[in-house]
Amino acid sequence: MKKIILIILLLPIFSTLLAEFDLSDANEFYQNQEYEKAKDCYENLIKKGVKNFTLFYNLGNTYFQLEKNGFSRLYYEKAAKIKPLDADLIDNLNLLKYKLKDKEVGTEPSFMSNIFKNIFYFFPTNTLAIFVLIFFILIIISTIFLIILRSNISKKVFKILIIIFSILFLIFLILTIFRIQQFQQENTAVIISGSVFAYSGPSKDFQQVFTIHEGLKVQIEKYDKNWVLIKLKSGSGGWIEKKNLVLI
Amino acid sequence: MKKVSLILILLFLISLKIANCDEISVSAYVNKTEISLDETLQFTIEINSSKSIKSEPEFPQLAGLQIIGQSSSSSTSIEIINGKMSKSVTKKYVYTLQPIKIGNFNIPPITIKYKGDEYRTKIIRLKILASKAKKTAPNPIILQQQESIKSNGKKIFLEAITNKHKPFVGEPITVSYKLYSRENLVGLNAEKFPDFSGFIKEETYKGKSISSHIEIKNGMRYYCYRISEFTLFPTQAKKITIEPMILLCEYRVSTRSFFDFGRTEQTRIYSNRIDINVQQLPKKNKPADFSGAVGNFYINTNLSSKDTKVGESITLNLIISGTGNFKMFNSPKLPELNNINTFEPEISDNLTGAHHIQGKKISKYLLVPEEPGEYEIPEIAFTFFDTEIDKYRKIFTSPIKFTVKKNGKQTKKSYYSAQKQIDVHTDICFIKTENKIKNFSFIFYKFWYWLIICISFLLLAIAIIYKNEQDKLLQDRGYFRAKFADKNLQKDMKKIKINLLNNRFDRFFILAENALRNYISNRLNISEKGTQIKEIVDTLRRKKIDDGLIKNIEDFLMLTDQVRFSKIQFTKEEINSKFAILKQIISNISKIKFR
Repeated sequence: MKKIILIILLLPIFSTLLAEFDLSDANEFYQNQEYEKAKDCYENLIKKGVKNFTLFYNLGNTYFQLEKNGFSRLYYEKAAKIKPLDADLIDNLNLLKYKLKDKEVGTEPSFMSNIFKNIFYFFPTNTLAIFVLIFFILIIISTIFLIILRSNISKKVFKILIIIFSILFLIFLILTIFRIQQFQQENTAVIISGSVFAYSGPSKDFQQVFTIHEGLKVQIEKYDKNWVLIKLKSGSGGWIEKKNLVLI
Repeated sequence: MKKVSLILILLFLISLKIANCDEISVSAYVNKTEISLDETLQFTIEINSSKSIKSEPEFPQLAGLQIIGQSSSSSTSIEIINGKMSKSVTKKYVYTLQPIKIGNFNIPPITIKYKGDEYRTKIIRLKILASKAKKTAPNPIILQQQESIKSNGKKIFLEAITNKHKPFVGEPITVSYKLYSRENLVGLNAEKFPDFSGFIKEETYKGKSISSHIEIKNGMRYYCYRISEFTLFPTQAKKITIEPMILLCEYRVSTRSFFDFGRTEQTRIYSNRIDINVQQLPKKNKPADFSGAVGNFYINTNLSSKDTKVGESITLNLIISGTGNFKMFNSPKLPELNNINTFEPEISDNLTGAHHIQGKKISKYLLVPEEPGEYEIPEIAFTFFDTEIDKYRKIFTSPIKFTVKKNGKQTKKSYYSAQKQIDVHTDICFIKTENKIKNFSFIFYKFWYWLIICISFLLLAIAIIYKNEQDKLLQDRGYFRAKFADKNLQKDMKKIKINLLNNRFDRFFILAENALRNYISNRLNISEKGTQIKEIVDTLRRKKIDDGLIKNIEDFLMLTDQVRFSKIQFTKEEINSKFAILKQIISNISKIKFR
């Protein structure tokens, strides 16, 4: 009886999980080099609120072919939030960055930070969450055995198991929380206008500080009505109009 | 190093020699090129030098002329310009010549020897006419025309000279204007300059003050005034006539007597027209990368240093030198170099020479290598139209190798991440071709995720409860018995019911007593065997149970005792009523909580 109730409860959940969207038309347009049509098809799904790595990546490619570097960067970055280590994506992003007018000057990541990055992003967030769940269940099961079983040897074994599972559980939980937090951060944006003047204050009356161009990724520091205070990788900051950028 | 110093020493010695060397110029001229038999001719040899020269000209045998007089004079002039003194000594040998025959004669070059060198004058052509008295005067108009064309014997004339009459489009030509005068000029005004349409013009010389030098033209001695010089670049292929330049000259007429202070006269002078036939550059074999350069060029490159470090800049100089239209073409572009940042070049034209067509075009490229290693700047091609051979030519620089070392100072180098990949990928990677996609969402936020966690907790709680129960059952016998009291009771009651149904009433009281005693002793955790009724009642009283119930229990137990020993027979109805009482008692006891 209980099992039936459980299945009835879980069915709608699984059905939403299994809901699929069709990309075949859009992909075909892309393959036939009808990029405008492909773009419209992908955009329709975006408007429906669909979030998917393949969708973002393919739309990024489409905008790349349409030479809209700003939007191309935007969707590549969105895709990178879901799968940061996808090789194709990394290549395309690098190629796009090369095409951009503003070169992103930064320091080359060190060997250790590269390793850390690879570990941090090795599993997709959902896989991490599944690990968290599995280890949680393992802790519970071990605890149950620890409680029920009476022999001292088996109690010791389960105590050790609980400690191991707890450590793994904590590691994966922390990773998952960091990843989710990172995903939900809305403090980066991409410039979509051809060239944008940055001012020293939130109005055109202020002095012009620098000019940036389409496709540059910037950090958002502050909002003020229609103006945004942005920060570049080089460290310099300036106010630009909100309409010139889109949040990743 | 030794070579360089040797060259320097040699250069120094040569310059000394030049400084020691006296500049000598020798010229010869006549006062007339056409004379009649009854006239005499003055032939002058002029030697200009910075020192006085003693050697005399060797006068050759002349055909058709004989020397009737000879004189020599010497004059020294000292000029101080900007504190620099220059001295010049002019020595003139004047010969008076008498023509003997009619005809065309030449005065051959006169040789002057000085310090082992020979200096020669130019040949002078003479025309000796029959004596004027016998000859009819020539038509003055025709003469004038002849003079205007040949400018022979004219007192003042303006000459326009070009170095080339058939240039190609873009090929620079020079046009210079010189005024020749035998009179002393006192004023000069430009009335009209040609407009040079069809050319890009550049004025390379403009006479500012009336200064002259002496030039022998057609065997006559003239004061020569450089008026102006232009370098012209033809822009289109067609026949172009450069209109004459018009000058207004004022000159002093030489005095005839001591009391004549002289007067000035004005005259308008026209230069000759120049016809220029500009030719189209050949379309055949025209290279695609033709830069528009016309002339004769050389190209070479040099690097400021062949050893550098990452992040430090070196300069690549791309030098185009030679003669041609430097201002009308661009330098060839530097090919893209991997891992080297190049910046827009700084281009400068360094033109020398009088006509601004000789010199160098220097493009300075700043190169900043980003990675250590061995690099090579490949050959750079430059295409131009060579006016010497009238063909297009492609010339190359030689490749330059250089080494870039690691920079120890920089711990972290600046980089352009994208450029690393560029040699590998020229196009983006293809789209992902999966056709069915699922919406991405965090399962962390899913209901079922937390449901599983809740169920796990629930299982844990159940396990704890179960464990506690087990512990109680094991440790607390009373609890264990009480727990099983109901089960035992039910078994006992079942037995009673079966007996009643089988009409075996004799066993009823035994079974009923057993059932009640077991139930009470299990609930109260007291031993059931051999327990006196009094003991049971006392225990029940200690548990502060309702007296009525205790009385009922006591009565029922007393009754069963009596029946067991006295063998009293009961009817079926009576037994059923007793069973009802038993049930009533048990249900009352079960309502009581003993613990």
